[in-house]
Amino acid sequence: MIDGYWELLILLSLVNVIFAVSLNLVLGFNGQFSLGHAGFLAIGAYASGVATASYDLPLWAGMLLALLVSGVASVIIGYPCLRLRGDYLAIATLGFAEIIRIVLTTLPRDIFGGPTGMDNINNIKDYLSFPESFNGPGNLIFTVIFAMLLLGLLGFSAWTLSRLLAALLSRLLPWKHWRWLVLGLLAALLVWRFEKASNFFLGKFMFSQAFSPKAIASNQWAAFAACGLIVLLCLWLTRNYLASMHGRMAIAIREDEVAANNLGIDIAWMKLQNFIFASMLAGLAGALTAHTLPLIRPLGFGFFKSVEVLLMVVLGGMGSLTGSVFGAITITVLPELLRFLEQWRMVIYSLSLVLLMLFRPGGLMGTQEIGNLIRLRLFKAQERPGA
Amino acid sequence: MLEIDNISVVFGGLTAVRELSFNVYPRKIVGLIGPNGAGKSTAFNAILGVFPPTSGEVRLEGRRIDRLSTHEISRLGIGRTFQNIRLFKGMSVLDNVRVALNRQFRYSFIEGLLRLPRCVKMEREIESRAMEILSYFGLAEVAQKQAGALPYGLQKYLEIARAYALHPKYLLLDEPAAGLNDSETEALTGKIRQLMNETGCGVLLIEHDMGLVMEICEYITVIEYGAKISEGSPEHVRHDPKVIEAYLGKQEEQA
Ligand SMILES: Nc1ncnc2c1ncn2[C@@H]1O[C@H](COP(=O)(O)OP(=O)(O)O)[C@@H](O)[C@H]1O
Ligand SMILES: [Mg+2]
Repeated sequence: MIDGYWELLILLSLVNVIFAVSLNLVLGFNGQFSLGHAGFLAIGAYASGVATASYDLPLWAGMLLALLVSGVASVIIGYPCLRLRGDYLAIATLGFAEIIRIVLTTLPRDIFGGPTGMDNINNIKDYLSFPESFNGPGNLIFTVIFAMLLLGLLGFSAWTLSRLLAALLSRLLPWKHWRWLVLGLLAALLVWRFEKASNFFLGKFMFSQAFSPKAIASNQWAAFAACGLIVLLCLWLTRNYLASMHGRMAIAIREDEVAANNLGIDIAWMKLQNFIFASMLAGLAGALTAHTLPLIRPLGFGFFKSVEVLLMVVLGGMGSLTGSVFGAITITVLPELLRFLEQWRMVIYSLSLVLLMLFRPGGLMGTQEIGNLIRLRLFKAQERPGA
Repeated sequence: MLEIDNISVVFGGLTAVRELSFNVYPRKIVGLIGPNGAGKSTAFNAILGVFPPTSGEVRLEGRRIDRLSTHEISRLGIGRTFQNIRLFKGMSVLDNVRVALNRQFRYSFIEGLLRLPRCVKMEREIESRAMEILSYFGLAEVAQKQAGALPYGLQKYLEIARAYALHPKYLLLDEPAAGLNDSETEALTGKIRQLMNETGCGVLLIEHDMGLVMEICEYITVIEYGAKISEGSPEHVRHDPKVIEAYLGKQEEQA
């Protein structure tokens, strides 16, 4: 069983993966700027939220509506902007997101909740009913899975951080063992604070309560499974798209619009198609947000949210799907993990992002996928295969 | 036949191409030459609708194409290369050619999204066709490399391969030999001739240096300041006093 706050955090990470992938399709793979991507998230969230809470429609209908409405909105925004050269889309989406946010605060309160938002939306767990006997093992399995994923993420972060710090330090003072010193210090820190760290960890991932009555009564595993499956489905679809002729054309447009145009590619239409697909993914992410968060409100989909997702994409690597997965999880979870730093939290958080951008300007993954990188490492090939 | 009929291209106050006419025929190599800045590349862009001609007509097999958009024109069977190579640098060599096959192998967005059997089958055909094209241009070994990482000479070949993949009726090459040494130029010339003979496409070649053009073109149009100053066989053009003046005058300026 996982602590309620962390349950939320994990579900949000999953939702953010879809959201980041969506923006990456536009920004990283197609080279178009969308600065108001949270607008589509808002549309999806409110479409599904209103449909299910105010009109008692079933969950699937809410999600379908979210896809539909965000798709239509993307055509309205994208059609005029994407036929022009230049970054009109950035400005239009920025304006669009603000308009959506303001309109949502003024729509009828009894249906849309007004500025204070909607708190009467059913949680995804309410829709998933399984025999109670599934709950114990189900929760245990997901506790183990996510605990391991978190440890993996921490290891990966420490590894990356050590590399970045070492790069920084050796600029100041060349010495080839900086990396090991940093790793050693991190290990020492862990040993020094081991009790606190393990208490924190076991407090969030409550293995000891795996079969307690509280765990048996909770079907959080079903929410994890449902969101996890939807994320995997989205990643699968996106991967297929990128490997298809349509995705290839989208990437070609990013690389060189004029050349793509001279190869018979209708660039305005391909950009629009890519934008519609991406926006529908964002709408779906929005619908999932509505059914995971206890409350959705217009302010939650403001400019800050658009910047946050931009950060996820840039951090993970524009043009890398696996990068977006890393980026989304890191940006969602890292600020929570740094809570032990107390007032230094935001300083360290910002500092690590700055460091990362300084030394890996292409993001964690660049335009590579994790599979390619591992293959390269293993076989020590000289050539980098094209993305 | 690709007819360029009296086209002009005006940029603001500058007339980059002035009432220019010439034809490109199937199974023939024709040349468009002139000093730097004469308006040759602009003429290419006008034919493809990148900068649509301000006046005049372009006809392909008798059909007017000068009001169509670029992608429609290239779909009708006009392939081109660029003076300053425009490859999809971050993509693999293979993908550069695969992109160009987008009109010949078509499947729907949904089929691609769900990777339905038709998409899988098509993708297999696309890959084998692309590899065939790459082999034809001697690029098969570097198929998996990133296009931007290729040496300059191979990038030039790849750009021609990509245009050739469109299966064009007319191939427009903008200074293909620029930056190549003599032996490379000779190999390239052979390749252009070979593909013209094998596919029967017409080739329009831009060069600002006379050497290559004189050797392989059957017919040459010479322009200066956007306007035609001479045309005819290489022999005729070579001895035209206006052409000599345009080129020699320019060389004196440079000296
Ligand atoms: N997009 C453009 N806008 C304004 N002027 C241009 C543009 N493209 C080319 N020109 C001008 O048109 C003239 C012809 O250029 P260009 O066709 O590139 O010459 P060439 O290919 O024969 O060397 C030059 O004077 C150039 O400055
Ligand atoms: Mg030129």
